[in-house]
Amino acid sequence: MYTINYDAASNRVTVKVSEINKDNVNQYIEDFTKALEGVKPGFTGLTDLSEGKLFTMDVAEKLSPLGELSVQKGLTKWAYYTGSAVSKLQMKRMFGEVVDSFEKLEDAEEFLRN
Amino acid sequence: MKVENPDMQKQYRKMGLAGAGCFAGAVVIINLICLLAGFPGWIGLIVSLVLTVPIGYLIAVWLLRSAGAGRIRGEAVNGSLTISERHSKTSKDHLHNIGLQYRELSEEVNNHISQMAGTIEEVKASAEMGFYVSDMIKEATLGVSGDASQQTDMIRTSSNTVGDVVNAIRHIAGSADEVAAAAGESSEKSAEGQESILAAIRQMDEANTTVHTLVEMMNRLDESSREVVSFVAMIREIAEQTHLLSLNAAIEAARFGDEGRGFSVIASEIRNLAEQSSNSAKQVTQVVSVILKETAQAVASTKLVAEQVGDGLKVVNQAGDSFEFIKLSIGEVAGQIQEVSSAVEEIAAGAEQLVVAMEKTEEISVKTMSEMNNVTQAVEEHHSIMEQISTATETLNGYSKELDQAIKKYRELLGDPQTSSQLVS
Repeated sequence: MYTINYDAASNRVTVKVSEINKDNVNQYIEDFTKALEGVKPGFTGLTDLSEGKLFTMDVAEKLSPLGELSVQKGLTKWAYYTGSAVSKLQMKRMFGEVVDSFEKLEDAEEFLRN
Repeated sequence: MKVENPDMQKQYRKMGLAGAGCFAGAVVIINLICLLAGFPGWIGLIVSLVLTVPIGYLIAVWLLRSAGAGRIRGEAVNGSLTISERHSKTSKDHLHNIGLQYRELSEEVNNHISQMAGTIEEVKASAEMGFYVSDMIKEATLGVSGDASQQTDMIRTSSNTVGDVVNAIRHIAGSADEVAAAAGESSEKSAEGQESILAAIRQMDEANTTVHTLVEMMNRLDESSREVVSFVAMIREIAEQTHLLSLNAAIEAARFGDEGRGFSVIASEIRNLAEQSSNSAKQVTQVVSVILKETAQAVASTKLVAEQVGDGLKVVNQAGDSFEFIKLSIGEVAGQIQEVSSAVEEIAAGAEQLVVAMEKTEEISVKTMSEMNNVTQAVEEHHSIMEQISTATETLNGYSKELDQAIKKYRELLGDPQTSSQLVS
């Protein structure tokens, strides 16, 4: 349903989401929070939502505080890429200006590099 | 269906009331849940209709079963119907077939109900997602609207800045005209000053030539004066010799008395000297007249030089006036140029402000365009969600029709008293 990886060399958290629903949202929050414990300040994040389903409203509400938590842990940039416009709107509603949306992985990578 | 038994009538009425109560209660509870969840009223209505149809169907089936069993039991008690009588007219196989039909029908109904329940869940989830997406689109549209307002403000500010720049350019154009006029006047005065200076130079050249002539005249006068001096020296010598001779004559005259022949010689010499003196005097007179003439010429030349110098001074004064005017004009031009410079700085500042505003406007435009594209795409995706709901509703409608058919079959089965009693037995 999802994978969370942290690369210490590039100080980057990479998340791939296929589906987060009411059954696994709490586990996701727990895993994500655990991943944030290992990051260094100034870290970046990348989320692959290209094959992800839209979150339901209650799931989205539960996930929203993770953006602020990431900022507190020293997040500099977080990029995600998805082809769904509704997904972009949802991410914007959930995390505001903390994250930036892209349609392709290359664009997201370039944004994080610069 | 007419029921004559009062107990049965009571039972039917009681069941009908219970069914109506359950239906109303279910509708109220579903709408209340939807209201608390923040869904629109139409969603509550759809969900309540969708949920209550199968429930109503179940209740109806249950009522019919209960009624059928009760009626048969009632008839059996009253003695109007006996099982042995009914069984005597039907075969065992026939009952078996009816039982199978009833079981198939029940399974079919159960399947339909399960499918309907699943579809209802899908419709509910899709409706919730549709509402959620609508809300996000609304929020994004409001954001785009806000950006557009900001863009309008920026364009208004830019327009005002452009107006200021245009005014500054007009001011520069006015100042430039004044500068051009002052520069033209300065140019004219400069040309006049140049002409005056050239005239002064010419006057000075002429004065120089006159002075040279005067110098030459003075030199000649000097030479003449020297000649006069030599002549005067000669006359002085002659006069001295004449005096000496006259003294000798007087001495001789005194020694020889009457013998005065020697006097004639002396007299002759004296006469010659007198002539020489007369000639020298004439020459001196001539030289002096030349000197007088040349002196008069020198005086005239000096007057001419004085006049030429006076003219030169006037010309130089005119040139000075022209250059004074040029200085004032240049000062005026410098002031105008200062004003032009200030206006240009103002324009530069306005232009920079304009560039910043235009860049920000462009940034907002790009963002707005991106948001609009996103919203448009989101509306299309939302449309697909609505299509899913529509398809699911159509599916529900199909299930509902199938259920209706199944219910009709139930009615047919239960409507036949013989079959009902056989099924009960």
